Order: sequence, then C-alpha cells, then structure tokens
Amino acid sequence: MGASGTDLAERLRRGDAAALAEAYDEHHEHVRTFALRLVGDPAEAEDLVQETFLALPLVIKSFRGDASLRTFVLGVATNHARHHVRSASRRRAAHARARDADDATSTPTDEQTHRRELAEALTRALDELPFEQRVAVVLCEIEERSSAEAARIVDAPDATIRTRLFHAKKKLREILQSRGVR
Amino acid sequence: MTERDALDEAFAALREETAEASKNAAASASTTRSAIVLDATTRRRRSMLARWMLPIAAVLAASTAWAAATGRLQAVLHVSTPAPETPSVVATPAAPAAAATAAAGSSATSLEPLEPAPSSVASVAAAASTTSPSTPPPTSTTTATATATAEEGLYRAAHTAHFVAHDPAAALVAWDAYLAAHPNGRFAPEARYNRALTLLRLGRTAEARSALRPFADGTFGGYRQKEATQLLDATE
Repeated sequence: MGASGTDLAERLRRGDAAALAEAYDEHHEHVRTFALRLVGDPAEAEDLVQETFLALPLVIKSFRGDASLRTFVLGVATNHARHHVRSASRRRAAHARARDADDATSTPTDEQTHRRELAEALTRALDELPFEQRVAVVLCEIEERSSAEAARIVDAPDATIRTRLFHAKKKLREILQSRGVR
Repeated sequence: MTERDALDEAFAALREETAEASKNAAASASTTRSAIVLDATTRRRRSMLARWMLPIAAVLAASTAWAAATGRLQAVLHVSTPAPETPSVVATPAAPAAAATAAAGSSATSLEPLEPAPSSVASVAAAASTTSPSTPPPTSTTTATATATAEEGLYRAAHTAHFVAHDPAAALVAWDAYLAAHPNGRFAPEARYNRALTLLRLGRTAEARSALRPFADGTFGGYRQKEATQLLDATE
C-alpha cells in the first residue's frame, strides 16, 4: 500500500471528516459498482455504499495495512451487504412473480434488451446461491479479480474462494438451464 | 450455444450492465457523499462534546449536589438569588401552559423558544413549588434537594450549550443527558421541545418531526402546541 493510503487510514483512525470525504472520492466508484453487482438493485446498492463509508471510521482500526485500502473498503462493503442482498432478492422474487403472471409469452428482442435480460436472469440465479458463493462469483467472475485478491477482500483462504466458485458456477449453470436461458 | 457459453455470456452481460449503471449514478453519488460527510462531522463534534462537556456537566451536577447535601447551596442561593417577587415569574419555567401563553406572540417557525435564563433556573425551580412567592425554597430533605440541584445542573449545561454556545450538536447531547436522568423532570417539556429544535438545526428533520408531534398533538397541553404545529407544517 502506498504512503498516501497509509496516511489516509491514519487520518481516518483519528476521526478526520475530511479524510472520510477523501476516501469516498477515491473509492466510491469501485464500491458502488461492486455493490450494484452484488446486490443487484440500485437503491439497495446506494444504501450499501453509504453504510460502508459510514462504518469505515469505526472499523478502520482493524486495517492492518497488508492490503490496499480499497481492498479493505470492499471487505467492509461485503460484511454489510448480507441484509441488502436479502432485501433486494425478496423484492426481485415478488416482481418476477408479478411479471410471470402478466406476461407468459416471450417476444423477440434486440441485442441490448437480450443483454439486459441475461443480466437480470443471472442476478435472479445469484439470489439462489448462499451469500458466500454469491460474493465469490461477483468478485471473481463479474469483477474478474483473482481468487487471491478475492480471498483478501473477504478474509478467507484462497482455496476456499476457489471451492465456493466451483460450486457456485455448477449451480448457476443448472439454474440457467432449467430456466431456458440460452 | 453451450451451457458454459451461456453462463459466461451472462457474466459479461451483468458486468457491462452494472458498469454502465454505476457510471450513471453521479447524482446519487453526490447525495451519498454529502450525507457521509455530514454524519462524520456531526459524529466528531458529538465525540468532542462527550469528551469535554459531559464531564464538566457531571462535575457541576456532582458539586451542586454536594453543596446541597452539606447545606452550602442554600446559603449561596439566599445570598446571590433573592426569591422571585411575582407569581408569574415563578410559573414560567415549571408550568408549560404558562410558557405557551408567553410564547404565543413568537415567530411561527422560530427556533428560539422563550426560556428561563440559566442563572435563574435554580431559584425559579426552587420557588415554583411554593404557594407564596416570597417564601424561601423548601428544605424538607437533603436527598430531595440534592436531586433537584443535580437536575438543575444538567438543565443549566444544556441551556448553555443551546442558548449561549449556540452549538446544536452539543446541546442535543446535553438535552439527551438531562432527559435520560430526568425523563419526567420539572423541565422535561422544555427539554423535549428544545431537543426537537436542535434536531431541526442539525438537519435531522424526521427525528425532529417525531419529537415535535406530541407537542402538536397536545400531549403537553397547550405548551408549544401552536409552534410545534407550525414547525411540522413548515417541514412537511
């Protein structure tokens, strides 16, 4: 980690409000994108971003400096994500039920619409995974991070991440296949 | 397309969709930033207050209680603060209805209520329970006096933070301290109303509205009912 990251962490430890603003400016885009991918709902993701940065001054004392501050912040987001994922997942299930009741026929779609539908199908499939497996998929497959980096973010062994990923992808394939996603 | 291809394509689709959505979140990002910075600033001020003001208030309350227990307070009150000369002065801080009448002419959304000056709280409170304005404060039991003076100490600290230092964050902590110690104290209605005002000043509108609601609903009789209703209307 660079000197600026260490300095920022130290100022966060002292409760410096300007340091929190600085940390937000530096990392919020990555946290927001990760939150959106993990939670799958813009409003819940925004809540998670806010919760993450509000928690940062309280948890920064456990930052050891052996990884980057961004990795640490993403770890904080992961730790706060569980109830946001649950809430967004419940909402998605309700919407899906309503939509299925409204429109049972599929219509031909353009490329962009197909991509959006595919993304939605994956998000709904992710809802059926255990939280830890979902995090592994988002970090390694959607964000394209190495398993070692994902392991640092969630503070778990590298091998555990790879195992979670293996089981998650197996289950996702089954779900997508059962729903006729091609 | 194979199953593996479908999954990889879905990963790519989610990656691209969320990247775009995240880039388009500039407005909410700005709002979130403001909320975070505001919270951090308030939290720091609250922490500073807890570090300095509350120990001072506690020492003040404890020393006042000690002075009351040893009889020194009575002597000081007799020397420095004569008993009030008119019954109306006596009634103002202790009777919410009277205070409401006094405040009837104040501005609709004013955040500055009419309040007893800190220096007069002790003598006024002591005299409030008497029927004759010229009668000295009661000295029935040492414990009762100590409790009363501790309450006055907390009220005085909150009053100073609110009306003298004009520090809403400090005032909020001090009002909370008073209400935690004396939820049904002699100045509890005033403290609750002032607490609502500090919440408004801090921008915590939802909490302020919750705190104002009982006043508007008449839970405290006519005390601040009109002002609370107007503030609720103004913050809708």
